[in-house]
Amino acid sequence: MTIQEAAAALRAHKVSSLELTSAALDRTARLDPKLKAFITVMDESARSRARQADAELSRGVDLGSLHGIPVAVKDVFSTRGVRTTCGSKLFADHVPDQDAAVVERLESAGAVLIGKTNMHELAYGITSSNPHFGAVRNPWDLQRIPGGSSGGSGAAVAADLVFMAMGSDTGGSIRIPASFCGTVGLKPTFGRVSRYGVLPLDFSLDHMGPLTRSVRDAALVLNALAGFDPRDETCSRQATQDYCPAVHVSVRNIRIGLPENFYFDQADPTVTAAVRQMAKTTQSLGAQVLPARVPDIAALNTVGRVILLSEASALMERYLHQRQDFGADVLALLDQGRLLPATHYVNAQRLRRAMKEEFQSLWKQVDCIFVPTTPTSAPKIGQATIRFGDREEDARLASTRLVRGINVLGLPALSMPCGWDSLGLPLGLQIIGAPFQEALILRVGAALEDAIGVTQRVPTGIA
Amino acid sequence: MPKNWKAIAAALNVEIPDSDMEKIQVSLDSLDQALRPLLKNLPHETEPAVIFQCQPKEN
Repeated sequence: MTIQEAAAALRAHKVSSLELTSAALDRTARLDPKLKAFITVMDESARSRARQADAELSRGVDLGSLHGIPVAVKDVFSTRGVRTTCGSKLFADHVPDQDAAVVERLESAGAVLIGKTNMHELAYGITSSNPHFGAVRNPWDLQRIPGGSSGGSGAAVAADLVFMAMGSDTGGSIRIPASFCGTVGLKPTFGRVSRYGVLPLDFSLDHMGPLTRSVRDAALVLNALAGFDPRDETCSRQATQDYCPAVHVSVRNIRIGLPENFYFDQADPTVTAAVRQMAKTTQSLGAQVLPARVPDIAALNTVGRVILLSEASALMERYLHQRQDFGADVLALLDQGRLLPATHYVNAQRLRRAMKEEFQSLWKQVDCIFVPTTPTSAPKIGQATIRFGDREEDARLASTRLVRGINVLGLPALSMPCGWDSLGLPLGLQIIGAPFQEALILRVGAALEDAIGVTQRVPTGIA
Repeated sequence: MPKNWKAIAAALNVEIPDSDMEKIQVSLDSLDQALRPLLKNLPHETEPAVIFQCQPKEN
């Protein structure tokens, strides 16, 4: 069931918020010992909030589509009075005295928060094999990673524990779990959603966005979250709009670019075929599909890595004398950032500005581009490398290769399921647009979803 | 030419055990080598994408 369907059922009195919430909590209690998708479950407060939502709706107080809907947030979002660990031993007992802006807005929209999802330690990695709170498992195959760093959010949505879970994305951390878990994941434009109250990984690359079961659900959540927040200096004053696509949305004459360089060069043929098939489908719906050449994405990834290593290490340096409190992979990244010269960081930020200008010309030719989200389906837990033909690539670098650069430019990007590989694992299509063009990429995604349908497949790992 | 990251760490007074240093040297070298060529064509006047802005005094 999607948020839209649940919201309709609530208003038709076919179900109550308490029933939806109890079902979510019961299913979480049953499946989470296997999945490890949650760090904290808020059973009592969730049931109380659900009762309140039912009372409000019965009085005619309707806060919109999220009212009474059980959701979760990644454990980077501060929650007043509820511990917020960032998946780290350092913050295992950290109890904030205020809510993150995202949590405030979800509450204002009437959503019922049932818990805080597990994640890669400090949001710094893609496996979500957390050494302190357990390895999150992929609901499609429990021996595989769900992706990360918002792995618990991806697993929780895919396993039908919640209708929506919030993630954060610094180098693909919403889109990678969306791809590996077969959910929708939306990374809005940098500045579109407030970062206030989020434990940061990287000051200039962190983005906040939802993982959901359908594109329109992601749009509904963005409707609740988008907008200026004076408490976040990077938050944009750009006007918001209704992001939810119409019922029979048209993509006629939208120009979709299929990159001729980089994105399709080193990826599983099943993945590239699925993405190309999606392009064909949009063409049959009236969109124009055009070949496109993108600027140097490998260079953009290099710039992103230098910025992330430098900023994350600057942020965490005060804790690095407690080496025993970090997982080995995160420690290795933090050590690297401490050794990069300051000149590299400044020059990376200069390159970032130059590359932003290069990308502007792309948006004169096309409205969005279609590329794979990840070059493969989910790797196995503990898998260090991925083979592409005769070349082997580090699994972390391979999984972030097609998503990282987009954070450097702050562009909006949507990942949605686009097929299945021979193992029955989901594959992800990434739709990337120009700054603040969330409505356009959601429109294209919704049109595709109308054509191919919201997936009804049940994850095989927990069936 | 690869950098001596161990010497850099020592000069910065950053304590990283040898076993951990071995794990990160290859990655640092490859990143360093990937970044340098990108700087060759970067216009001299290009400013970093991080901006500090003074706010006017509020009355």
